[in-house]
Amino acid sequence: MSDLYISVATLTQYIKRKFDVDPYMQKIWIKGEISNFRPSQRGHLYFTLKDDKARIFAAMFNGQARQLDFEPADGTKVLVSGSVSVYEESGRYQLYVQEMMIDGTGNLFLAFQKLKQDLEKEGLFSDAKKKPLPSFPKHIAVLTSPYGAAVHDMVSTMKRRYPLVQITVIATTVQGEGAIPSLIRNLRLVQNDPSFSDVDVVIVGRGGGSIEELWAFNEEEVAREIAACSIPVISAVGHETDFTIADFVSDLRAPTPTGAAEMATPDIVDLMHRLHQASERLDTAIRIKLRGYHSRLTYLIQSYVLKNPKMTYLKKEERLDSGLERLHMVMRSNMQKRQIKLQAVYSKLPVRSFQDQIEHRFLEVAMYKKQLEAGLQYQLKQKQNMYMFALKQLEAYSPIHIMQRGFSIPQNETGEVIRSIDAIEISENFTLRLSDGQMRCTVTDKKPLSIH
Amino acid sequence: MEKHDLSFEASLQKLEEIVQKLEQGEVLLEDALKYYEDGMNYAKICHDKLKEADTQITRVLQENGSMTDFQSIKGE
Repeated sequence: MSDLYISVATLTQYIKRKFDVDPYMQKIWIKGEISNFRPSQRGHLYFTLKDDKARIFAAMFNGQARQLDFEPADGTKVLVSGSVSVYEESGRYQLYVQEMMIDGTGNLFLAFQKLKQDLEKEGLFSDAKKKPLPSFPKHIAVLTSPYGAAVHDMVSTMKRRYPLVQITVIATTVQGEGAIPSLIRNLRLVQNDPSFSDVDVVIVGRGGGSIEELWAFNEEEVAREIAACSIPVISAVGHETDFTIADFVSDLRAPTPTGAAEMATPDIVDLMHRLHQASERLDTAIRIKLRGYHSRLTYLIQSYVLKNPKMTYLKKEERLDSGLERLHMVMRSNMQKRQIKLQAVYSKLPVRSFQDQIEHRFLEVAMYKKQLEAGLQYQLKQKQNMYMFALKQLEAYSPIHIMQRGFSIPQNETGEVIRSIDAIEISENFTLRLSDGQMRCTVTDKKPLSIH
Repeated sequence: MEKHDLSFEASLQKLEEIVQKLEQGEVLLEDALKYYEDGMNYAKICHDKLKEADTQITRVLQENGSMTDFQSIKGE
């Protein structure tokens, strides 16, 4: 039977679990009045939070209590955020306070906390959603009041840091009445108007004023518009430690307007430095390159080949020689191989008839040769006979033959035959040819032949 | 030089790319000289861009839609 009964501790643990798994109990915002305020020695705060209908025990541990910017006391009306759970030892549920502030600021703080929580859950603050800023912005749109020192500081800072950038200040109401529609209208204008198509950074800034005056930046509509903006947004709304929702949803949060200007632009001094470095590296690189080529060239000029150019072709000649030799060898062995093959083919041929044919041709050749020789002999004999006959005739006509009969030939100094006495003068010399020799004569007298 | 319509960013990037190319890897001498010349051109573009930038005027788009010169508005 005792199995039916559970211990108090078990029941209390069970009830505590009920509280702890309920998401609504994990983060709640409550307003009420402090009573029965009891700070402990170690800095924990215990009190009861009540209104006119109910009360709840509350504990705020020293870690959180140290953050308080006011002295809580009985009767203080406060806004509290925290979780509800069960304190098992005393068997009562109680509020564990995370944050607490005096309920003088109306509902703004609660609304802020709530919206922040909701948007964070939705993922609007996540780092993955943050768009990177361009390193070299072309056109920066500044959404703020064009009046006041803050915007002038911003513009002059950006101009000084990066003169290349174009800046357009888009006059925007940022506080009080009309801030919400003005902000939304101008955020859309920057994204959609063709004259702003080259805008690549948007800075949303405030003109100064207290956090209460900037409530437009804690409005959900504005927050969502900023989060949805296709161009990177820098928020310069908060001030140092004051955060607005706009700060969380924008891609970058600047602590001050000047800070935003610095985040948006590269510093020209850095750029000049980079440029200078690049130019210098360029110079060095080309110098090293040229020096490298130069030393390579020097090395090559002094190289063996260029110093002994003959060696280059002598070696080639050697190679040519050995190449030729190899070629011959290969040819020879090739020929041999082929001859062997040829013989092999021969041996397979019908040898007899082939040889017969060759013998027959040989006989034919011999016969023709004999005929030719006989013809030649005959021709030779004939020509000889003709020659002998001609020789005899020639002999008969030869001047020597005639001279043997007593005739002689006179010739002058130049060897011309003297055919007339007019061709020679008295006392001139001439040669007289006879059949067995010649003699020198002198003309002593000339007498023409008289014909009777 | 027709490359003048390159942005400052692109020119600086080109310059740095060229420097890297020259610093590493085998580059033919002709190419190296060409790179060097290009690099010098890009450096000049960057310089020129920074110089000519001073003429950029900051404008204000007033809430009534008119465009005015920012300098004409005095800080309070």
